[in-house]
Order: sequence, then C-alpha cells, then structure tokens
Amino acid sequence: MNDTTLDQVLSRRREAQQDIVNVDEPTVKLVIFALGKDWFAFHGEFIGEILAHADVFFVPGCPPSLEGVINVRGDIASVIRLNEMLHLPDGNPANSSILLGRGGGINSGIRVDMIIDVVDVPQSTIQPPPATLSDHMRPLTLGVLRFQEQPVTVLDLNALFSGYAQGLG
Amino acid sequence: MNMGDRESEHDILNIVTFTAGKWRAGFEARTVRASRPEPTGAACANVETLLGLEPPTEIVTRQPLLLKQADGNREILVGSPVDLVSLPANAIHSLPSLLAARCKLNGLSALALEHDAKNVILLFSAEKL
Repeated sequence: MNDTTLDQVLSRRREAQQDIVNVDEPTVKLVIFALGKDWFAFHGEFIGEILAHADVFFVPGCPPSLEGVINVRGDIASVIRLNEMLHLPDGNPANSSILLGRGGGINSGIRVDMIIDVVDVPQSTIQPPPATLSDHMRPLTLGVLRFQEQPVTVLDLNALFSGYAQGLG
Repeated sequence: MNMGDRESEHDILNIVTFTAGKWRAGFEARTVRASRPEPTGAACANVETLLGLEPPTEIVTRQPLLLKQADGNREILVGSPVDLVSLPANAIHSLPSLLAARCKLNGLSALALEHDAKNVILLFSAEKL
C-alpha cells in the first residue's frame, strides 16, 4: 500500500508546473517598407492602415515634404514624405503606398516607395542602433535587424512625427 | 452613430467662397459684412498677399469683400467668383496636426471637402488676418 496522499500529489503537481518556463520568445509586429534602396520598419501597433491608392489634395504654403491631405472615409489626414528627414533622395511614386500612422498623439499618412512585408519577428532579432549610425538618424531609430538578407532600420514614429512638427524635414 | 454625429450631419455652415491664387478659399459668412460687385477705389490688399499665397498667374476679376474685424471693417480684394455656399458640418475638417504645425498660410483654420470630395476649400479665419 502506498502512503501518498492526494494533497501530496497535488502539491508535487503544482511545484512541477512552477518549474515550467515559458520558452516562447516575445515577438513584435513590424511593417517593413522601402524608401529608395533602403529598408525601414515601423512597429505595427502604430500603423492603422496601408492605403495602396489615395487621391492627395495639395495644400499650398506647406513644405515640399508635406504632399497634402487625403480623404479617409470622410476624415482628413496629412501625407508626409520622410525622404528629406532621413537624408534620402526623392522616392519613386509609381508603386508607392501610404501608411496611416499614429504616434505621440499625431495621426498622419506617410508615403513609402514599397511595402515589403508585415511580419512578426522575435524581439531579440532587433538590435540596438549601431554606434556607426549617422547623427541625424540616431534620434529617429529604435533598432536594426536583418530581414531577407537586407538591413532594416526600425524607426521611432513618435520621434518622427514630433520632429516633423518642429520643422525637421 | 451617436446623437452628436446625427446632429453634425444636419448642421450647416455658411461660407463666403472666392478665388485666391489658384485656390478656392473662404471665410465664415458671419465674419463677412458685405461683398461688393466692383472695387470702390479705396486702397486695399489683395487676398493672396494677406493669406501668403502666390499671386495668380492670369488676370483675374477682383471683387471687394468687407470683413468684420475687432477694430472695425476691413476691405480686401478677392478673386471672382464670390459665392455664398452652405457646407454640411461633416464636410469641414480641422487641420491635421502636422499640417497645422508646418503650413505657413496666414489664418488657415480648416479645410472643407466639397460635396463631390474632389476639391478642397481653404477656410481662413478673418479675425486672424
């Protein structure tokens, strides 16, 4: 006859469960896009929508990087280009899309040359910005990773929008 | 849809629209005292100069508008045609944050999409000129 009690069995079971470690690595959703030859990404939580086509209404008196406004189901959103802010040559509007982003309490469309992918990647694949990163990119960069053998710079949408509002780009 | 949305669909705003440079622009009608068919001869500024817009490249017919301002009436010259239009409130939009931060036009306060949503009307505040 075994002297084991139910309480002992349940207690051992609880201890065993406490020893189980969750090995699933946290992931982060990224919207990866191209501006010219360079690849960038935003965290997916800051991108509400990707618009393949939208008529942009030009508004005078704005810098060239502010394309105008679009009508998104009855609401108006600005559309900006990041090329100047990121010190990149002008983009290619032929295959471009507009990302509807929200950061730092600001909503705006962002013109990108091409959507590469929307993916979940392990958080650990995003490395801190390298020391060699140029000065103008440092405040705008959250990290870097490699995707499809390409370097991808993860941009800080809050910093981009607040920098743009203050006159960058 | 809440009550606020339903009300705003039926609310209308009267706007005096005119041409400014290449653009359709407007002032809230309550801030316009009068529109005259021809210039009175009094010295007054073109609307493009006041708003910070490029002047028109073609010859335009000018019409005076008498604006109500805190220190009295102010006459300015706008491009024809001058119309009084009633826009539904849901066609009028506050300026997107980045546009409000970077646009250099004087007194730009809102944008309106016309009924076909093909054209934007620039809405200016007469009090801020």
